[in-house]
Amino acid sequence: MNKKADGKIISIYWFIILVVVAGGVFLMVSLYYSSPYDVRDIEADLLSEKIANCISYQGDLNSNLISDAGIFKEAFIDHFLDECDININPVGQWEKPQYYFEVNFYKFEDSRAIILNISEGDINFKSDCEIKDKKYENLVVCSKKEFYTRGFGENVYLIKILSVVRKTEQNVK
Amino acid sequence: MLNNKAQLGETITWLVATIIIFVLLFFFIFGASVLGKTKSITEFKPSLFSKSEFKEKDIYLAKSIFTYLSFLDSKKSNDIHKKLLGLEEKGTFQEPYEDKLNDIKSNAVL
Repeated sequence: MNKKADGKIISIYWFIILVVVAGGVFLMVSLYYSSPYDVRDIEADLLSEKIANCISYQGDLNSNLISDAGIFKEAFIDHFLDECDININPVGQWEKPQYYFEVNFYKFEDSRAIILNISEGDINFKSDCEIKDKKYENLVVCSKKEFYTRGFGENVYLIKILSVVRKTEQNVK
Repeated sequence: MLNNKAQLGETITWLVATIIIFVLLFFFIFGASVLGKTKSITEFKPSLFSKSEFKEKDIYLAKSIFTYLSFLDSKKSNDIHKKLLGLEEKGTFQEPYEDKLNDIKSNAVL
């Protein structure tokens, strides 16, 4: 009789342990997989790449951007997003743009004075790139790229592209 | 008396076993929460202990090299070459400049 009671208690004990272990495994899996993948690095790089490919192809500046006389075409600059087939309009849960990019053109001889600037998106994100505080480091992801390209004739330009992606809620826990 | 001692020994065994199970469980839950932080795609690794294998192609370096090669016979090529070496020193490129240059030279039809 006593042995039967012992067996019952042990069975209940094992059942409780089983539930606890199963709950633990569930908790571990949900903890591990609930954290998102931060893909903003790739997104910012892709945006920069798209811009770079639109501006320059195989080392030559886009002929729609610069005239034969070496003058930048206003029409291309004014409709940069359409010309480059870039869409930074907010979609889904977002009401405000989640991107910012700027392209600065410098003369080869003087890489300090900007001769042309093209920018789109929310400019407030730009200052977030400079924040070093660990608490705010995930606020935005910034991608800075630079390359040389040939313009009209013997002219060479240094092009610096800054792409910024916010989308913090989707990418960071 | 003997029976009581045996029962006490058995109870302690179960108690210790239960504590070990809980300690291990909490250890693994803590481990999962530490490993489960926000993951970045650029740091993708095929397994937990292997080094990162993400290799990026530098299209910006390629564009600059194409510009450099288009001036190959002019005085400007030297200046561009120097500037590109300067950028490499700054760590701007994802690939070694000379390797990429040789790669493009061997594949490009100039």
